[in-house]
Amino acid sequence: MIIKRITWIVCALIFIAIVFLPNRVSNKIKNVFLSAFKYPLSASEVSSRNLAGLLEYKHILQSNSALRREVGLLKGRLTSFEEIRLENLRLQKLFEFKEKVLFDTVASRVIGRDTTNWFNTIIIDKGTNDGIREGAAVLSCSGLAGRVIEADGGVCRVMLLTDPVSRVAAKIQRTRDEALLEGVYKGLCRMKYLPLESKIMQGDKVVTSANSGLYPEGLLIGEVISISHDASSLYTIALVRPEAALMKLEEVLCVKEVKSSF
Amino acid sequence: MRKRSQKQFLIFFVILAALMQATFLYRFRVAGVKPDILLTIVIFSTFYFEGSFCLKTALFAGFIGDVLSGGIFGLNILTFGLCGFVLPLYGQRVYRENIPIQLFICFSSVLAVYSLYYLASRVFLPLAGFIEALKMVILPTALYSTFIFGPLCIFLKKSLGFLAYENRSY
Repeated sequence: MIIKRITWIVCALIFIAIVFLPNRVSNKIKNVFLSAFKYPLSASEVSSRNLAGLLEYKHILQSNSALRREVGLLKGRLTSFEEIRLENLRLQKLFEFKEKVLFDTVASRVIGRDTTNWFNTIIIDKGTNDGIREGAAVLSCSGLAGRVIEADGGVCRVMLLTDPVSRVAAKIQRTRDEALLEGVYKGLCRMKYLPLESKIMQGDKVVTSANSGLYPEGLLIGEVISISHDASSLYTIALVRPEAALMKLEEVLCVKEVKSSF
Repeated sequence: MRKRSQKQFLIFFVILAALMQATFLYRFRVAGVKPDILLTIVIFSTFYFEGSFCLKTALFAGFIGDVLSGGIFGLNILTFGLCGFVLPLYGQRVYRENIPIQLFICFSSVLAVYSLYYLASRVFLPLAGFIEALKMVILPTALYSTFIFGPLCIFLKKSLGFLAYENRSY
């Protein structure tokens, strides 16, 4: 009886000690078991999408025809943009503009999401074997989605912008005001420490700042949906809706390396 | 004592619940939260299985929850384990076949586990204030999980072949 109690107390102390393990060690342990869940998660995610497809069949048909119309319009605009692009190339060479930087990316599928309601992370099916490193930026087709926080051989965990722990150096594209973007609950972000005299408006686009260090500059983050002042009236706060549909991500692009285009 | 096959099935349901929580359930978010069916299965086990098995199930469910979550590794193990340890201890003092009491126990357990998880996470991570966390995450999760607890209980009881409440030993 006493030995049993001592065993349980020792086990409890071990479990408490696990919480205080360094991140490197706990991430390694997590990733070993996460890799084992990769294929069951992929299978489950595929079933989930098929089920969602069946349930949303009518909506899919409607959005399909709307998208076809939009593609037709965009094809027409693309032709005129091609002319502008060629003219831009000529002008850049002429005036020796600064090089535009492109990214080398790897596409991956989302195979799982955070099991808790506290954090907003996703699990993707590519890892270090595909050239993805911890800290790599993750993009969706419409904007920045987050960054890689844990990477293993075949899987990665990505922290989304709306995660309460996420912090991104961002700026308002129009006014060039820089501030800190953090995730809040309910799928939104909040830009803190904007100057009081900032001329920020609803609808302003938010992009990554050069001060970020983690993310390439100029990546689209989202749009301002409301503006307020903090309780102490020392700075302005803006609520930002991410451009990427983070709750519905199915495929993402992970930045492998930043490269020049010219 | 519960049959071995019932215990094995319950462990299988825990793994299934974890996979569903990581893939299906985000499509059924209400007020930005999804139900915590991993925790509700642990709470269910405390009503119908003996204490040591409940604790092991809770630790296993917490471990899988930690592996599939982006939070601090070990916190789910601790909080779920505490739930799996405390509920069977004090559960003998209430009549657990009463549905309102089951729902009340489920609601208060989810509330307690989530509050503990928040307080422990706050030590390591810059999370929002407690009132905001209570409004946005803890209360909605407790309500949603309690809402699905009833149907989940019926499903598990039918799947595991339970007929009536049996005496348990700890």
